[in-house]
Amino acid sequence: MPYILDIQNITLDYLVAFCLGILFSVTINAEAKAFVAQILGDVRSSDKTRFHFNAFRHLDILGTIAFFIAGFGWPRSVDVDTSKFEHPRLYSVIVQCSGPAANFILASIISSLSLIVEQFSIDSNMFKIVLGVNLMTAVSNLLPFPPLALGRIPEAFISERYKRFKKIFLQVSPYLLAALLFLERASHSGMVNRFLMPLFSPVFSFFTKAYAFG
Amino acid sequence: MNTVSKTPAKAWRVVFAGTTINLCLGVLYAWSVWKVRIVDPNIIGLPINQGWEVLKHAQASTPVTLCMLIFALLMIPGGKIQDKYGPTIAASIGGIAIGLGLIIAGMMKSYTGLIIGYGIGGGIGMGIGYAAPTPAALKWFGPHKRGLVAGLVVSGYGGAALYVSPLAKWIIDTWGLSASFYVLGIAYLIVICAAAQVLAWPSEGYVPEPAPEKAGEDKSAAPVATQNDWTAGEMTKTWQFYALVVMFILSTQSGILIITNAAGLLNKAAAGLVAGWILASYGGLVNAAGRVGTGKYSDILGRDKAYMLNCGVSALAMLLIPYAISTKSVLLLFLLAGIGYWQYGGGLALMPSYTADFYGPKNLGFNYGLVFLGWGMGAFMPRLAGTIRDATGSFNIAFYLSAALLLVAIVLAYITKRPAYARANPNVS
Repeated sequence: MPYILDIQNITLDYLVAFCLGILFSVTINAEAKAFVAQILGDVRSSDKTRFHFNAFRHLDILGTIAFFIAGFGWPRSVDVDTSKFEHPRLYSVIVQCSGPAANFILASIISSLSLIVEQFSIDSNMFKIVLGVNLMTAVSNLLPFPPLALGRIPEAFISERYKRFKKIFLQVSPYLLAALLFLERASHSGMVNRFLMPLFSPVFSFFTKAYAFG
Repeated sequence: MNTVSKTPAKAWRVVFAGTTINLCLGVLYAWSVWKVRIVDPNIIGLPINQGWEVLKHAQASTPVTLCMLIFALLMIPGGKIQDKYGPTIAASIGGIAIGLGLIIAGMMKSYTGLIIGYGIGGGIGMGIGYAAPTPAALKWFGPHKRGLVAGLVVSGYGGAALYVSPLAKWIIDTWGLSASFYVLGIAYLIVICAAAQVLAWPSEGYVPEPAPEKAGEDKSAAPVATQNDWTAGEMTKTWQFYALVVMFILSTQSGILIITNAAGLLNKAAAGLVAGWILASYGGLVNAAGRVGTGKYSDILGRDKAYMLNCGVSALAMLLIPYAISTKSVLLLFLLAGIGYWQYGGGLALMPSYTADFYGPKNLGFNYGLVFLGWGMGAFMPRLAGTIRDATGSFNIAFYLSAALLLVAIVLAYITKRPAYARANPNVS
């Protein structure tokens, strides 16, 4: 199982590290999207939703609840104006994918940092929790539900005629996803996790393997 | 525009206030002093440590790792606070957080207390406090002094290992664990907040003292530093920004790879010959010296040549490591570990000066925060080295790979020239 909060045996160290994992995940996910959108042409000079790196302002209510019940979640959506892109469809797909890619890179960085501190006889358990939450967030974006990345891709190809439908779908989907995750947690069925674990587990064990140098 | 002919005394006071603040914030490097004691029932059982709980080994690293994570999370917002509210506010928040944090840790005498005080309080203090001194000090100086100034300010952080470990050890052994947190907490609260009052930006329109003119110098040559203050958005549109990030990645990976190997080997090879604290102090000393030294010669040679020099020497060190590992020569290992610490520390002094030269001092707190992402990414090397050892049976290919990357770094530094503001931003007059 990935890192999720066990409500029966909650400890302070775990809780703090888990919350840090959430804050890192949402910040890096949202800032990466904003950053890539900026590079691809959607330039904002005085936008308050970008480049502040204030983790708390990236928290989304449902997305945060999802972290606590499923071990992954999503940030508040980043406002991207696709009409400013040279290739709107392609670029918005790239923007959506940059979020989980950034989570993956962060997981890899933390993996290396934990290896370094281990050389100085420092136990890296707290790092691993943050790593796990980030990796889980990266992998979960392969689920085809908005606001997760794969779920956002079809929207780039939906014709403008169905704009209303698109808008409603985007608003409702996070609730459906959260409900699904809650159902999974309550029923212990693993209906979502069985798709994510085959990808998560091998990468996680690779990232947390210990080495002794020297 | 009022160009000053001589750097005002105030500027140097800001530099030394900055060094002082970092000397306090560097307490992070000394955790091992507490770590070995809080798990030892013989020490916790002493009357001076009454009320303390004995921690499990798995718990003993939690406060410091949480502290590092919070530090990392807050570094960029810390730079923003510095740019927006000024260095005095940012450093004072840092001082209050770390001071109160340590005092809380001493009062609660428990795992919970250490998490809240040292982990959360210390992490907030370091994250917000670390971002304040360097940009504030750099604003007072022209490019010909920036390297030295950045080196002096950040050397405090590396140098803290030199005094915190022996001091904390002495206090713990004499007065007990709580006293060590009280003394350091109260001292940091007072010292950081006092030094924060000295930190200041120069007044609007201040132009730092120009570089002394050398005889025969070509006056028509382009100045080494930008006259404009780039915003983060403008910066990220120049390829030089990515070059700086990659350069940071490449220098950090080599420093970390040498340190993890040579320091690890030294710990084994030199055990019994020299005391553990000598190794720790040696690392701290060279780490700090590398920051000041690299900063200083980057002012004279230019950032690019200083960077190339450090990378070249590190590349040679990489090629020597396999030999050092097979012979276990303590002297050679000391030398190599020194090069690793110098390279690691030097990068931390060079990159803020580079960023200031390229993109101006005004938004330096935030801009450098973005460049600093390269430092984090540079940590990939040990994991890759481990994977290489799994595949080939030895670390050697990792060292050669790292040396090859350093050659790439040298080429990159050679071609990376300062971006021109007018060309990159034609619409801004």
